[in-house]
Amino acid sequence: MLELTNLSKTYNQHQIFKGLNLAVPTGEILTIVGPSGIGKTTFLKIIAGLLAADEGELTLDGQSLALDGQRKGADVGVIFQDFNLFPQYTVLENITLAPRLVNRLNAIASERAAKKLLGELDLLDQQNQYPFELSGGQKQRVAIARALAMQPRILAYDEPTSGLDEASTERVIQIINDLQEQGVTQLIVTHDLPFVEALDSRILDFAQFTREARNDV
Amino acid sequence: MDYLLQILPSLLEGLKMTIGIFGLTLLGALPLGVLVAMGLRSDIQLLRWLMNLYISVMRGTPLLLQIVFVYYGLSMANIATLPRFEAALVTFILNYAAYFAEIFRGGLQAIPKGQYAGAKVLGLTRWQTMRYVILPQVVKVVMPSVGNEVINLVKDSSLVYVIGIGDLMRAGNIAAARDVSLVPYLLVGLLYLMLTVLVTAGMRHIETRLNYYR
Repeated sequence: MLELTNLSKTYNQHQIFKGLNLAVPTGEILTIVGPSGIGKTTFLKIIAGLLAADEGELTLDGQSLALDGQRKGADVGVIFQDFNLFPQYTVLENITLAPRLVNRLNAIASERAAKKLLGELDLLDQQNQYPFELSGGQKQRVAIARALAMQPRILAYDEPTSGLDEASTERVIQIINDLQEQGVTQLIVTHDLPFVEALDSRILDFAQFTREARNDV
Repeated sequence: MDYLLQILPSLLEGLKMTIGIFGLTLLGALPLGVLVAMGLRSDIQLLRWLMNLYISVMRGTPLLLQIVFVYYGLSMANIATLPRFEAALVTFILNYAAYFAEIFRGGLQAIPKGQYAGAKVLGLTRWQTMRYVILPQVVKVVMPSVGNEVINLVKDSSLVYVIGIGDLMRAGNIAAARDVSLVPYLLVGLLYLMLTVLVTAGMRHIETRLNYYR
């Protein structure tokens, strides 16, 4: 269970949100929708530990996670809108880098785990290619594999279907559903409504959510 | 031809010195440049200010003047008396590190913020992020500019003649004055050209090897 209490964030003296409370049960898919510029990505970045919140607490299965933007570890895996793959490394190296450096896995163990993920995501043929050689959909799946390799408890996606064709979007939907069956909690920021409808998710209208929180405070 | 063979040994002796100054300067200035570039991006304002001052002074005054200052000036002011070679080397390293630092600063700025974010959510420390994610990309970005500076260094090394160091240029000067001939200078020019052609080929080779990704 992911629990967020009293989350507030101001940016450039502009209050983006205040007093947000949210609980996401383990294994749930939460899609966060709403117009651009209302702070969905900011919200996601705070949960991912990339941005500091002004106030608030985050617990994951009862364990507190820092919201000061200085969090260590990889409890929350992130699939960025532009993937942020490391261009100088092959697909396989992108996936094994963090398990080797952070979890101290040896080359054999990290590659075995990576290849299992690549197999599940239909990427074995691409394992020795560099990111610039991949299509958008393939990059997306590499980004998912790279995040999963760290066995995060939460997976957060920022606009995962932007720039993807229909077939790749289908594939992403299938992966998200598979991960749900494996019990991975997933947070998805998107404004692609057909994509949201194709998922078995709880939908959070971020505009309404922040408005109600403000009124409650 | 006989004349060429006659002056060649002394010129080659000078060439050795030139290559020595060139190599040792690179060895010192490249790592120092990385450190200064990191200082330029430090959270400590005083450090940033000092690094900027250092770069301004080094880039804003002639290298020739700096060599004279370090060799004669420091000694006259009773600060330190450095032997010729060491004085030249210190000056070259300080001067070139400033130029390299500016190049590296630009290289660091060219790396998208998303690369840092991508590394952070995977749990990499700041040091691991620098070492394994950012710096390898910076090397590729800065290679052409570093190559330019390295070629400049080959030629700039001739400035050490001003404090009487026996480099290639000085060997040429001596032979030309002694024999009242321009031939030694021609040979000196050819040797510098050979050196820069070699260095250019080396830099190209490195750039090509880094071209495996985009």
